[in-house]
Parts: sequence; C-alpha cells; structure tokens
Amino acid sequence: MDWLWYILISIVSGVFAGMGMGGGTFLIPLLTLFMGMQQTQAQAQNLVVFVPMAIVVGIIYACHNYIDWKRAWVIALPATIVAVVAAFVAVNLSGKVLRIIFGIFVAIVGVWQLVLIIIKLVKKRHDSTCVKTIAIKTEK
Amino acid sequence: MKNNVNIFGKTNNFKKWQEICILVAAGLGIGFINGFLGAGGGILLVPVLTGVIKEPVKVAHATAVVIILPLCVASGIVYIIKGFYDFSIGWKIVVGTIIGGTIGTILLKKLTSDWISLVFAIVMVVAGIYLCVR
Repeated sequence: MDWLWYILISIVSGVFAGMGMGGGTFLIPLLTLFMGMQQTQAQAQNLVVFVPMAIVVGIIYACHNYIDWKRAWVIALPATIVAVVAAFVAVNLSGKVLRIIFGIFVAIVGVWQLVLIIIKLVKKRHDSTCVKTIAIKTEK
Repeated sequence: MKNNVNIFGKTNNFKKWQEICILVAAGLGIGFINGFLGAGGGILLVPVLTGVIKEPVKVAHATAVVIILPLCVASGIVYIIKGFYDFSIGWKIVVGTIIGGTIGTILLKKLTSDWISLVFAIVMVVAGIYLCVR
C-alpha cells in the first residue's frame, strides 16, 4: 500500500506547487515525516520531480514569450555551478543535520510568508474601510 | 506580452553593472540553497525578480522556472550518482505531482488564495520547528 501513500502525498504537494506556493518545501517534509524517508533521499526526489514539470511549464511560458532570457542566463550560470558544489556538501552531511538545517529554513520562510500575508490582509481591510468611509461621506 | 520581456535596465533604475552584480549574487545564494536543501529556489527567486529587479509577476514566475531547471538537473545528478535517488519510488512521486499540479492550477483560478497562503505559511512554520526538534 506504500505506493498509494507516495502518490497521495505527491498529489498534495503538487496541488500546492500548481497554486504557486512552493511544492518542494511541502513535499520534502511530507516524505520525511510521513514516509520515514531520509532527508537526503527526500531532497533528491524533489530535485528530480521538478525536472519534467519544469520542462513542460517552461515550454508553455516560452511560447507565450514570458521568459526574460537575458536575466535568466546571468542568474542560472553561477547558480548551477554553486548548486553542484552545494549538492556535494549536502550528500556528505548526515541526514539529521540536513533535516535540522532544512527545518530552520522552512520555519524562516514560513514566518516571512506569514508577515507578508498579514500585511496584505490588513492593507486590504484598511482599503475597504476607506472606500466605505468615502462612500458614506459622498452620500451625506 | 512581448514588451514585458526586457532588455537589461528597462524595468528598474539600476545601471547595467549593478544589475549584473545583483543577479549574480542572487544566483550564487539561490543556487547554494537549492542544491544544498533540494528546494526553496523558486520561493526565494520570485521575490528577488519582482521586488528588486521589478519584473512583472508572470515574467518572474516563468523566468524562475527556467533558472531552476538547470540547477535541479545538475544537483539532481549529484544526488543520483551518490545513490540517494530511489527510482522505484521516483515514478510514483512524478505521477502524483503531475496529477496534483494539474488540480492546483485549476483550483488557483477558482479560489482566492490569501487565506490558503495564510494556512500554508502557518503549516510551514509548524513543520519547520517540528523538523528541527524531532
């Protein structure tokens, strides 16, 4: 029955990825916490699963002319070189250390997202009250 | 959308060399995190492209995908060579993610995402702390 759980878990993370909310930061904890997978193996799964999705999505974006190729090159070149070095560092660390560092990263990103969303929601509420006040004033 | 695909300098007030420095620095940081933690590139890259470089949101998302693709291929190969990728599990995750991704894209058009993002952020904080203390 394991295969069903793997598919269900990846469907959940895929839904978040499709909604643009970082599927990887969701898939890795699901794999380690629910399936008992080692952190390093879960990270490998997430890197590989991104490739077919990114190829399909990338082609669609490219057809619509949404990609800023000049900037993409300037970022991607140093990023790819460093990513290989970082991957070598990661595979030589113990899974537990990697999991703790990953946990800290996820928590920091979570707090950051939380702050951004709260600011957005407060602003929306403030804007709608302003609109109401103006509407009342103009009625008077 | 042709006018959204910019030559350097059209979306912001940086000089060309300043922008190259910013882009390279962003690449180094994001490359390290994505290779080291196997995730997180997109979540960091999109705000850099929209907030600092002032790219339109759609262009930022699209550009982030093609930037992260070579990172994932290159660092994924390292994980595979070192024996950390289980092919027998991999296909299940690929199938599930494709199904989930399609559902997510459809849902995105039907739901307002602020409250979902709020729940998602809280789950991230809790999961992060749990991963550290477990």
